[in-house]
Amino acid sequence: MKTIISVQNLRKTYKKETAVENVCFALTPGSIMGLLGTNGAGKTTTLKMITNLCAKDSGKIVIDHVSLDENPGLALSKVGAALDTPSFYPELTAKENIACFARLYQNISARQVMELLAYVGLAEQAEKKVKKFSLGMKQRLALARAMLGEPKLIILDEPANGLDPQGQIALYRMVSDMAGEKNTTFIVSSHQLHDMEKFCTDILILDKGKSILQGKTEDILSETTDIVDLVPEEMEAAAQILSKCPGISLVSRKGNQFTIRLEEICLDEFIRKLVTSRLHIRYLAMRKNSLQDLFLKLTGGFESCAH
Amino acid sequence: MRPLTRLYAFKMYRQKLIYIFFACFFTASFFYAFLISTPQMEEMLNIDIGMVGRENFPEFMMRFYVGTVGILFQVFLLTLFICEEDRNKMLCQPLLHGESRSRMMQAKICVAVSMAVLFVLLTALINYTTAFMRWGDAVFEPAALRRTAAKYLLSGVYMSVVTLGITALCVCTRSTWKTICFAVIYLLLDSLICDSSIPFLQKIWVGYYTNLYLFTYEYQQIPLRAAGWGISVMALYGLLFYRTSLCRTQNMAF
Repeated sequence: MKTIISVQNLRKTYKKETAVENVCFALTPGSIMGLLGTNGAGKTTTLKMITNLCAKDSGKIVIDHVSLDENPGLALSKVGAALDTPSFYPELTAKENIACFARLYQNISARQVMELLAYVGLAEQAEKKVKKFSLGMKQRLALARAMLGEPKLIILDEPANGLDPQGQIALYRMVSDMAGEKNTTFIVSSHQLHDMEKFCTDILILDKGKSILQGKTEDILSETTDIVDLVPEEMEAAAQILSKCPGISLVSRKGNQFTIRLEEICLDEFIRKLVTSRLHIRYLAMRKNSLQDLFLKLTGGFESCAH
Repeated sequence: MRPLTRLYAFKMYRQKLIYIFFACFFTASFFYAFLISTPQMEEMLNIDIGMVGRENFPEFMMRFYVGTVGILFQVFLLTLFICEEDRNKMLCQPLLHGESRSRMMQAKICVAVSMAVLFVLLTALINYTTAFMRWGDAVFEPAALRRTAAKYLLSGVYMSVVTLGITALCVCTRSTWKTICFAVIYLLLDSLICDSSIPFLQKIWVGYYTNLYLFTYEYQQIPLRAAGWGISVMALYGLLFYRTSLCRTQNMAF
């Protein structure tokens, strides 16, 4: 199958600290990969290595069959990126800023610049100076700039930062539409796990520079265990019963609610055990494991939640 | 002109600092042209109007730009152009649009050096304009015109090398304040070396030759030998600064 980007054994160390180690992935056209991880997990370093903004120690990056090491100019001509906090020439208008970078491409007309601005919802602000823009508006403008030249791969580093909830949904819809309509591939790093679960076709979770989970989103979520939220009459009695119950693991205990993961036991069996233990239950509900549950489990976040 | 060079040129010529600076320079040149010919000012400034006025006025005014003032002006412009863009994450933006690091730095250098030469020519234009306003056709005396033109051209070469040096400093330090500090240290060293009596050190010092042209050969023709040596030393420094900027750019992590 055709791959638009292939990353093999990517590694980067800063002095003695390993920032990224043996990260590998490959993406097909039209896919959206969510790059997840805690702060300092190596997401931005990975994205900077892909865009050649920072040198890698080892590994291989091939973009649309062009090696980044051998021909960085050609490889990166197929990539659009919005990394870090969006930055522009503040004293220029949105239109001038995009037009500035449009000059680096051939055949991008003023009309196409306006179309891009309209696509990201900034048509009315086109003549406004960027220094007067909010962070959310700058994020949209950064997306428009990344879309210049219709790249095959767009890399977005935490694009939802500073966007209101409507803006976040609009942004991810835009990404989703572009992937579907134009077959553009996206790598999106974000902490918005709920949105990532909905919009990403692929997931890669990094922890301390290492890849700890990757694959198709639906495969990852279908393989996960069930989660039960339980509100008992008596917390201490319930805690004792649950500690003796095999095949489950306690995820968190918040207020009067336990969150339990069913590891090697089905729901019927679990309820039967609770009933035979004569535990009085006020509320019990089962839900599928979300990406957030999985992320917290893998990155050790549940321990901090449980405490 | 390549699109990236055009983009940087467009960005550079939107700097208000350039227009403010040259408006001030024009005002200073205008006032000098009209003030130095009064007896009171002649006494106060301890200058000989017969020497610095008329056809010699453009050369007299040149030293106000080529030296501390011009170098500091270039430092401010280039730190805005490189260090501040780097700090605002704008320096790496062309790299995200398929440009290579060396092409990006070459475009910056091309704009910066052209600007340095252009500014020297602009000061010449301003000085000749104000001199013409004060003394009329007398400022275009052929021998003095040839001599002054040669000095302006040599100053253009010197300011280009200084620009390359400041660019290398900006790329190596990646900090506005460090660049300004190093530039001030250079200016102090320059005056120390030019005033010193160590001929060998002077001969290999880039700033020495401008000092030679502007002060030792003041209102005189520059001997070809002195011009040749100066151009060779400046070219060597320029090449060194240019290579340093390109090499350092390759290793920059953004």
